[in-house]
Amino acid sequence: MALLEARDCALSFGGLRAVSGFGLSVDAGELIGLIGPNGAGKTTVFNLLTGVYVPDSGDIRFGDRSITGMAPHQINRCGIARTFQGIRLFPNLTAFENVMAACEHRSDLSMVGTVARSPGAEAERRRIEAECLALLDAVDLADRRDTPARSLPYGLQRRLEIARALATKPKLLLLDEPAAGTNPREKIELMEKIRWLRDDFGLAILIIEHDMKLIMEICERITVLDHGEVIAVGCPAEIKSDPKVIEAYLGEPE
Amino acid sequence: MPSLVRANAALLIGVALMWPLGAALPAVLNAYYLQIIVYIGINIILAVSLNLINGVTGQFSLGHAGFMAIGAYASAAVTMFAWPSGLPGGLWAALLAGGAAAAVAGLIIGIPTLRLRGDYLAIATLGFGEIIRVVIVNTESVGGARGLFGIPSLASFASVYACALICVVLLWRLVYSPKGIPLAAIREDEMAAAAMGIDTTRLKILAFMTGSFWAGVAGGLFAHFIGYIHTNSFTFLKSIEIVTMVVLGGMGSFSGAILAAIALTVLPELLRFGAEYRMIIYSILLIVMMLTRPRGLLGNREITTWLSSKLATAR
Amino acid sequence: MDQFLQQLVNGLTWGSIYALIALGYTMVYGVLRLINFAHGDVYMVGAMCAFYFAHWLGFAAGPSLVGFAVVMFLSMTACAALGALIEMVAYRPLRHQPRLSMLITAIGVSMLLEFGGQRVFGPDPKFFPQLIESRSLLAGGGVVLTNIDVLVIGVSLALMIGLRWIVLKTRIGMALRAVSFSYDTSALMGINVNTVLTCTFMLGSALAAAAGTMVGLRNPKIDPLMGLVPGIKAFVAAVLGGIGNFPGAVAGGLLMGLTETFVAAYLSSTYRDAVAFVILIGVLLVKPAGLFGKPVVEKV
Repeated sequence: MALLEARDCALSFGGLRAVSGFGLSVDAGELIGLIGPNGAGKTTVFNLLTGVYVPDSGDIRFGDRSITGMAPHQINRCGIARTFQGIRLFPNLTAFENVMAACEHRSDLSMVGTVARSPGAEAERRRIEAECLALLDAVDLADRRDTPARSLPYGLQRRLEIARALATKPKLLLLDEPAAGTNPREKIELMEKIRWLRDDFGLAILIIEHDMKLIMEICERITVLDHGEVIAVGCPAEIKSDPKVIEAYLGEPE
Repeated sequence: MPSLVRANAALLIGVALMWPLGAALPAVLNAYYLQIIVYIGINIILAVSLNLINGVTGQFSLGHAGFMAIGAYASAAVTMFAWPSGLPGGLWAALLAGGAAAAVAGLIIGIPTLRLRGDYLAIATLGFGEIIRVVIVNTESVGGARGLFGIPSLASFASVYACALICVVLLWRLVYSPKGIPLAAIREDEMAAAAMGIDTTRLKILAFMTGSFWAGVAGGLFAHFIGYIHTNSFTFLKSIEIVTMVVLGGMGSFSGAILAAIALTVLPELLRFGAEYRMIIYSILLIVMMLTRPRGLLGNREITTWLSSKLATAR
Repeated sequence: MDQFLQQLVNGLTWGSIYALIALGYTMVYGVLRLINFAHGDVYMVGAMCAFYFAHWLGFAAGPSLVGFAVVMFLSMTACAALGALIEMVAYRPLRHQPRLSMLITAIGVSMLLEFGGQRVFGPDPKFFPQLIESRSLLAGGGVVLTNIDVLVIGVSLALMIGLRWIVLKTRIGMALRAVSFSYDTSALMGINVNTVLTCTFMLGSALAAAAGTMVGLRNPKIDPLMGLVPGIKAFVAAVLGGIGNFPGAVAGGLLMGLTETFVAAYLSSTYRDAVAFVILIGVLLVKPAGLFGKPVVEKV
């Protein structure tokens, strides 16, 4: 059974059809790419999957339940985490606090226990702190733990956003243009990191990216979106030779 | 249990020390200074609790004085009408009742209004503050427009500062814990916080209730210190005064809120020599302070980090 | 029926006053996203200026329409200057700082005007000169409609139409709308944001001064704290109509004036102040952006 299954989703803003007839299926542990020309509706799809928008019609299932119409925080708790196209960290919080904020719903820390410093709460706090540090370490940010997120360089901010998403213990991670604004060397590191994350954390990853080379290299399957509709699904080799995809991209030097 | 005592030993000792300190103070300070010091303590509770709502969670509330009023009236009602006279502990029961009443009011008000963002929340809370006031004025059983007389003077330096210490320490522990960081995340970016699984509405209401609780306690202390309460003590201007403390101190900074609470309580008294120019100077100082330190006295940092960064640049 | 009509007249008169003040709030909020707490006090200064101009120029001695017009114009000019001054000294330096710091200086300015007013004008109420002799226009019946009521409503209407013309037809009005739409983009497009902001404060303050002068005619007791409550209510009216929205501010002001007078007349005058807020909260819960406001959709 698929981990994530979106069927026939549609969304309009006023008269504008942003997405229609959208379908997508992701299995556990898969690495899938979502590509398409600018304005094709890729980020809108992410917003539908994470509950920022509710589809006008269609159904999104995650695991064995429908998540259509759930609030963003509920969907995250089901196991879907995301990053944002324009980075949305908590700018004045430190790197460490950014990750810790995302642990909130997984801990059974009580408020009374916290303020009374009960032994149970203290142990739980130490456990959470260790876990956050491990996550920072996983994205090589442990030495920047006390730096406010806004002072981190761009590339590190992107990595911190991934660590923060991982802190919610997702089964599916949505990455919105993780390589945007990074240099070629960072891009290669990032690719390796994404693969490693998938294997080490046992995640399924859905990734939006403009860099074709990166997508073709790491994704097992690719969904191509144009004008809010899926125009092709397949493995990288199939996508490369698909006439519809070539047409959609014609004029774009990818 | 023993480990719980050990973890809180310093706090408990600190609280216990307030009584001998309170007994010693009248020997060195006259009644006027003592009164100002007590007002400072009450204002610290108000500023720190509003800091949780405004500064940490980023929910702009303009109705803090309303919750203070609820606490004042509810606690006064407990000691005057409910608690058997002669039985000790009346003040504490009253403070808990006042805090609880304010927290419940915070829950009732928070559920509909915390959906609103930014300035709309401010106006809605302002509205509620005024409604609470008008309702009290029209409730004859608590004195109505005449105010409530004859509240037993149970609060003193010791009880006020014991409460202030407990309030500051507990809220500090909360804010700088895994339970409190998500509150700051809501302030920073509500949408991103929700995407990270944070139930923003629930936490906002929780912060609002906690802040309201302490405003209620402060109101209870106020009522039992001066012995007479009137809605004129809890107007929109009082709410504004508390907001000013939070912003002037530096949003989200405990030490900033405490410093500002002290400064803004002492300042009008220091300016007494100027008699009729007093409040004019006060308002000019407020404007000048904001113009020169637009992020508040300490920015959003605590005094410890602020000092260490000053030292680092000096070196 | 008579009482109903009478309250309608009173409500419309107060509503026009609220609407004039609310317009100032809405304009400033539109361009700066600032709740200009000092605005209610500018209205007070408007009433005070009118009081002094009337005395200095000798119009206080005998009622005349010309006297009223001159006094109101001078008061509007003085307050426009005051508004521009406040913007330059207290708000401009903080424009790129957190929004709340500007709010605190606004509170500071408000307090300065109130306490400074008590010092300069004296804390006791003053009696506004009778610039217009009050006459009842409707003979007989239980309804009193005075020439002052008609004047207040008429002048307010004229001022609103004037403002609408400025906003829709002039260059500065266009710039004002652009800055309301997007502050940063307007600055990038070469609009002189400073000029626009100064003009916004001048326009808003002039309207408040007009409101202050007219209140002086109708309720002749004026004092340095008179701006506090109407200020808050006018702001609530602006939120009610949808803040940043001009027709909304007018509608909100009228709604506020009418509900208040009707509640005071038919229910209880002590609940008068609370009812305004009850309505506000009710509206915000159903339509968070106000009656005429458009909901803002956050871009992700």
